[in-house]
Amino acid sequence: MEQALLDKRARAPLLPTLVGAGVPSLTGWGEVVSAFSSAVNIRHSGGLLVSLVGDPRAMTYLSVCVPALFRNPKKRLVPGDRIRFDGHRMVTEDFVLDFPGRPTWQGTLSLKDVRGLEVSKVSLLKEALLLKGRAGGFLGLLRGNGTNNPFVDKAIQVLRGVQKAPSQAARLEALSGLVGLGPGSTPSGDDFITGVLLGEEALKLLLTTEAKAVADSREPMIPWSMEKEGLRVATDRTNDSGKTLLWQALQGHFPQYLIETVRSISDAEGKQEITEAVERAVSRGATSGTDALTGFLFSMEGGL
Amino acid sequence: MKKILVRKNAYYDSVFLMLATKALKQWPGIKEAVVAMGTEVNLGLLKEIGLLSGEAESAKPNDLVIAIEAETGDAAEEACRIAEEILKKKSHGGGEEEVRPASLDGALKIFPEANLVVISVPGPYAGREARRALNKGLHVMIFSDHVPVEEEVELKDLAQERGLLMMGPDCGTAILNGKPLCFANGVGRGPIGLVAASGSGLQEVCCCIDRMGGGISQAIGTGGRDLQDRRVKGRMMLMGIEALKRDPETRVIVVLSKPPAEEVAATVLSKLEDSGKPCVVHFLGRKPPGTRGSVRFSGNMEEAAAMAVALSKGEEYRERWRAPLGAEMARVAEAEVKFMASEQKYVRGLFAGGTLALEAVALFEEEGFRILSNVRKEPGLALRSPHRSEGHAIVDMGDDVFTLGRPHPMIDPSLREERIAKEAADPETALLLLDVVLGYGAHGDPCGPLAESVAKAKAQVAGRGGYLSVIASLTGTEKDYQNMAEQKKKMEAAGCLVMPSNYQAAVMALHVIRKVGAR
Amino acid sequence: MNVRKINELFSKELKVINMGLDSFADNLRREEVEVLQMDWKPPAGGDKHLIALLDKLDR
Repeated sequence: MEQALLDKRARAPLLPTLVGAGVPSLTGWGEVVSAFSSAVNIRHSGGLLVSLVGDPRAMTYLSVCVPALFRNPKKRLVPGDRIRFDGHRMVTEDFVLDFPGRPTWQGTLSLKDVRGLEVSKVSLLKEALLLKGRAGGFLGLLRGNGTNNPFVDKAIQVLRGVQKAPSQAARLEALSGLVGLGPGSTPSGDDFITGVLLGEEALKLLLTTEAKAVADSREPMIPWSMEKEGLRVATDRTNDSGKTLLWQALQGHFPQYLIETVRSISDAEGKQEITEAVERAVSRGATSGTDALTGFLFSMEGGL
Repeated sequence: MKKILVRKNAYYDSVFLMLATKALKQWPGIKEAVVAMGTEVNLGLLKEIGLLSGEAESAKPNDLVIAIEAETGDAAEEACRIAEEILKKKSHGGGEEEVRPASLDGALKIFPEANLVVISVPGPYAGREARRALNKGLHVMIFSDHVPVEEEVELKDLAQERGLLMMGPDCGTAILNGKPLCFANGVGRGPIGLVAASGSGLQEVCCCIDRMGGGISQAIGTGGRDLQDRRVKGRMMLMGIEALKRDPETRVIVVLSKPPAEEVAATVLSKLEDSGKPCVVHFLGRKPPGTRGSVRFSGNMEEAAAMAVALSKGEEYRERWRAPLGAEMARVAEAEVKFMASEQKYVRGLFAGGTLALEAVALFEEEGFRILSNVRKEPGLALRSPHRSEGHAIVDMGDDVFTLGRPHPMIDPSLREERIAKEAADPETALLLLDVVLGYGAHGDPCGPLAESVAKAKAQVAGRGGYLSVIASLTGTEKDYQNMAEQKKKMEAAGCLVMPSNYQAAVMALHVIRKVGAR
Repeated sequence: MNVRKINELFSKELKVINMGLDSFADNLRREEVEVLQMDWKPPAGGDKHLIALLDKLDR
């Protein structure tokens, strides 16, 4: 099979419309682990998941958007299919995805995504999330204790430890207790931490500008000297999905839907727009969007 | 009663897991159900609440763990069974099967807005499918050949009656609304409209137009017989010209075909004169008889493109197109011939595009060379066997005799590779002349295997103390997916001279053969 | 000569039904053309006599 993927026979080229900037750095082999109607997940030999997606709104640093794949029933990928990565492209039994010259997608937060964030908007975000957020994950954290959900109870325990920790390093260490925690094919804790990292990124950007209203009130929890080693190590304690998400977030790359949400909140002129942005975000996965925004709030408010 | 299930290496969709959890929790007799990945912390939690045991204790982060607490042992068993069922069904995730209708009626039920049907089913069936499509008011392109001429006439009459396009049969190329159909290249948009009875010819002219900075409005294919066969009388050609006449985006009309039957030519030319737009006509392999009012004749396909581009920019074009850098070509030819052995005398053209072969034949003939080929059927001009080259020979390798039971050389280079080896083994071969067609429909990397054959062939001849000259042209644009620049590099790396057009490749070949003769 | 529908087509988006080689549909999709691929089979199992009869009924 591997030989077949290495031989030079003609394969149909499929043009990606977007290539996540992390993908071209991968070489070696991958195997399809799941295939859905608009996403295919490939486990790269390095342990990270690379996704082929049909919708640009599903983009991440490790995704390739190739709508043509999902419009063609003949080119189905199924779990078990092998894929070769060689830096410039991905090769399957039936087709090739070439990267050079295709638009690249970074997924980093920039100033224009956050400059409108202020305390009042953060409150509106919380309200909207309480209203529209999906239960089953960590939404319970926003509601306080007595949740009757063992995962949420555990998370509350962990977060209390985070808030009590005497130093930044200790806070970080404590937060890693959430890695791999919770239900979902990407454990809720991983989505939550991603949201926290997103919030820290936003605060960092805001502190470099005049709009310090939010950042002023507190010190960032995650040290900006990039001392995230504790968290990085912890990523081995979760599954591929969570590890992939955290690996990207620790380097400052976030999924498209989260960047879009932050941008919408920042640009919003009223409650309605924030509510709509939250509605869009919470429709991601089962509770991923809800959990990530909960984490974002935790960071922006310096605790829940 | 507690039960735990572990599913190894599970990659389920989150929404599915959530629904499964809900379903389990609501199952009669179930007190608690936890569905989660087997991460350290989740396992730790399960242990804390007393739901961890057995194989679940050694579950890994990528394993799915389902822990159930039920009122009775039976309820627990039942719930587990259900869980297994649900998980088995969904183990590959969702994905609707795309519907593939088997009949045109079925297709139109799903896709009533369809406006064009592209048919490439076997010839004997293509005609009736086309008729149904026309009767339903759809435009048609028939890629298939082996459709009886009587059917073609009927279809084109029907199309005329209904005012629809009936491109084909044997129509390999069209570009409508900037979109390439079947074998076609990525070409910029602009005011040049074309109607052509030749696929590879249309591709060549369009690529030259693109290279020269011009753009195409529409490129309509008529099928190979449209002008050749007296019975078809150029029906589609005439409709195509009429449509371009009325198209506000088209300012220049180009017609491309093998020389038509006499009276057909007259009808076509007078229609062009009536169009009110400047026109360029190229009848392959025939010397132009000058101009007729607004209709100009070109001497070769590249010139047709050059004239059309000039006209589209509002410039006049009077010069007979001469391959530029004649002196440069002569110099290169000199170098090519220098290390040839004395027995090496002949050019062997191996073409994938029939029209491209015809252009080369016509040029050599014009310059006084006797060329044998399978594009000319007249005795004295036809090769005795197309499988064996004699003297100066140019072979259309897309001819039926080669492609029965094998893919066309544009799709599969191996046919030509074999022939290249054969020519290289012949001590009288001095020069190979090749065409390479890129774009949709063509092979994904035609120059890969071709360049290898060329390198092998050259080495073989060098091993005998001679030198094999190889000249090629690439019909393509930088928008084509094969990556034209890369393709060119591969050929050049093998020692091939790559020329920018089929015409220039033939001219370069002429220079080499002249030098060979002058030794 | 009536070519109104052809000129109309020039001003619309192509919407294609592909009957035959899959690759033609694949290529159209890459060009973002809406295309429906048919699962064409010879009618009446390829029986020419039957086909002729079917055709007569059609007309």
